[in-house]
Amino acid sequence: MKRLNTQQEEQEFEKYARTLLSSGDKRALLENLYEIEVPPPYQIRVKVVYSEYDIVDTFERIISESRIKRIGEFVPTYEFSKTVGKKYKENLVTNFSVVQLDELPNIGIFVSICKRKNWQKALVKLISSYYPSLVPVLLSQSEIVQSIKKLRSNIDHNIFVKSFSANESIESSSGKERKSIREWTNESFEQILMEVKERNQYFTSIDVEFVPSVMGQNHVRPTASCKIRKSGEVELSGKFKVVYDNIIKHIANVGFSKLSFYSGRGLKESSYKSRPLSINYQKPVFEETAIVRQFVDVMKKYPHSMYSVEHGNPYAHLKITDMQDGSCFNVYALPPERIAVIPGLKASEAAFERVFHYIFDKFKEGQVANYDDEGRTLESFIGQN
Amino acid sequence: MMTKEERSRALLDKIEDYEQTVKAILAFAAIVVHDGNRQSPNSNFGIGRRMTTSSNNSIAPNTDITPDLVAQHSNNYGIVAEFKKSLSKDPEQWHDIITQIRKYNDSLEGWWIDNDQIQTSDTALLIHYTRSRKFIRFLKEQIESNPDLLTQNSCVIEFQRSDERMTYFTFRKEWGEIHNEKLNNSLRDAVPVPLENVVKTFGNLEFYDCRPPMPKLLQRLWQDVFPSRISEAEYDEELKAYKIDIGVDEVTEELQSGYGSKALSVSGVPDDRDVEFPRTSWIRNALDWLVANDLAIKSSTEDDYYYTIHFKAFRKSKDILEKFIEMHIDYIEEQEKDESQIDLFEKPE
Repeated sequence: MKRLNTQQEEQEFEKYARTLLSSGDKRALLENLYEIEVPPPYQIRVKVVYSEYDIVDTFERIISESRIKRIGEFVPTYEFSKTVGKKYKENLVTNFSVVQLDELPNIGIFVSICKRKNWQKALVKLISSYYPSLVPVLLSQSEIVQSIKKLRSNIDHNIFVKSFSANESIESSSGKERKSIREWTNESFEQILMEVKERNQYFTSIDVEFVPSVMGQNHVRPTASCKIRKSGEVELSGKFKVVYDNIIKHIANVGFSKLSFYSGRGLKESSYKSRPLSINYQKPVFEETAIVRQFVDVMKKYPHSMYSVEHGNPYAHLKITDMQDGSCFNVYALPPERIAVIPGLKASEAAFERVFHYIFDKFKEGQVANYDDEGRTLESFIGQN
Repeated sequence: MMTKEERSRALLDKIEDYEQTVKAILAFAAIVVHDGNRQSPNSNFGIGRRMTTSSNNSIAPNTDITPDLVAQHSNNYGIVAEFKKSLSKDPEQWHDIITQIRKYNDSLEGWWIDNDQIQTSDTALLIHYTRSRKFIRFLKEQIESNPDLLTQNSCVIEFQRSDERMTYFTFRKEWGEIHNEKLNNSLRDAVPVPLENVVKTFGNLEFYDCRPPMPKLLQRLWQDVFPSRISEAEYDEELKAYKIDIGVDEVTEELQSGYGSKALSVSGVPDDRDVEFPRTSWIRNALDWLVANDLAIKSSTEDDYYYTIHFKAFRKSKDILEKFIEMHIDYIEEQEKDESQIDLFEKPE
């Protein structure tokens, strides 16, 4: 769609988008989004969040700022004003709706039709400020990949990667370091996946186009294109319904399953029955002391936390307190292929999600599982050297 | 006079000893109650379980004792064990340990059997491998001069943490006999228990029936007990801290359930011989420490003690355990200025 070039065009479009988001009810809102064609530099932008309770009720309860004004009568749509910039101040007005998903009681989306700066500098920061009442659904590499594969399995589209951002481990004189990269491509999703795997890279975001294909013949224009971020955000152009039904709902399902799996594990909540989790790696990771030390150093830098290092060599054992909601974990790296995360008196699903995502992002991604399915028994207690 | 650094090192060692002892008790319990594949029938174990000596006990007849570990292998056999991760360098003080073993080596009452008594039991002294040989030489010298010092139902087992591809606790019998052939044979050759299995099974257990070093208890309170309450607490802008109201009993109950005696719950049903740890007096002592260090204020009622904690995150880059070790050393040094001499690690309750 043709880019809007004048300020007047932009103002007119913003009025249109505001009316579209705020009129009618939830059903009408979604139908309007299905139909709308959004011109650049605007995009439909979505963030998937989890809450212990109904997302709309939670949001209505926690907002107290005068900068947020409800503008939808029958749909929870709001106007948010925020001044950004230090030297050159600018007032950003962003309209957005909060949608509780019918099929997933704890999951909802924040959706806006806005420019990137409104999204990143205003709305995303606003949502983050409501943590842990609103918990972002954070995606791992495998979950991002699964989201895209899900879409392809549902419709006959070829997927091309326009660009991606990733983290990459590199050897340096001071040991292993992580480097952020951004690449522009026009290759198939499969090709990029293979290259990323070979280079041991981890996506932080991926920008893809979905191109209709019949008997191997591709259309010249994509049905939709979207950027999926590991922070559970999707920015899209083209058909909203395609992305909403297949990607956003998939992310919502992933988030719901994951956070439900993490919930109820704090000792107080579980009647003091320990319900630890582990991150399992397919190949041994902690075979060298340097890696154990690296892991300890990473955990010491965990944001918004307090820590104690109980052991740093030859195995790792740390106590981590999440100061955002008071959750506490004992974190062990004992055998080479596993990290154990043992909940303390309080261990919220949000805190589990945050600590796992941090470990995946800053250390290494693995598979989360119950640490001990057998519960509190002495089975298999004695091993052989 | 010890320097700050020496005191810090000594406290860290003490904390390390405490943690290793908890893990070693659990690992050794597993060796006794397990047959290698599954838990043996009629087996059980208790940490600090209250047992009663017989009227024939040469040291303390008809008295309640609380060994570090009572592990029942079957209805016919069990082991009473005492753990010494660290041992005084002065052999003169080792006489007390031998006396303790003699006291435990008795037809004790308190096993998980109908009549409370077991057919055969041994008393094991578990010593860290760095001291075991020296202690055994000392023990043999004592026995030479007094052949009836210990009965045949006593043994010394050394233990150590070994760090290979995985971390193990390894146990090996160094002196005496165990009156269960299978256990005797395996412990003669050494039995390794992966630390991960201990963590997997009782990863929460942090205390046993012995008072932990003060910084360890403070760390658990500051990193877990108090933060778990911040969502209900009032934030005081002036103090720059959350004000958290707590009672000694509720904190004790939480720590026992989460990390102490109630977290064990092997049999599922506690009986009147189970002891409670951490004890109320330890918690009260720790909360008083916070008051003395301006991190809490105290208000008392007739039947309980209540405190308001002024909880805040310490500087981000600071290890919380190290922080409490530093503060504790400063606190003790202040005390020492006022009082003539207070033992750094065994401040009276």
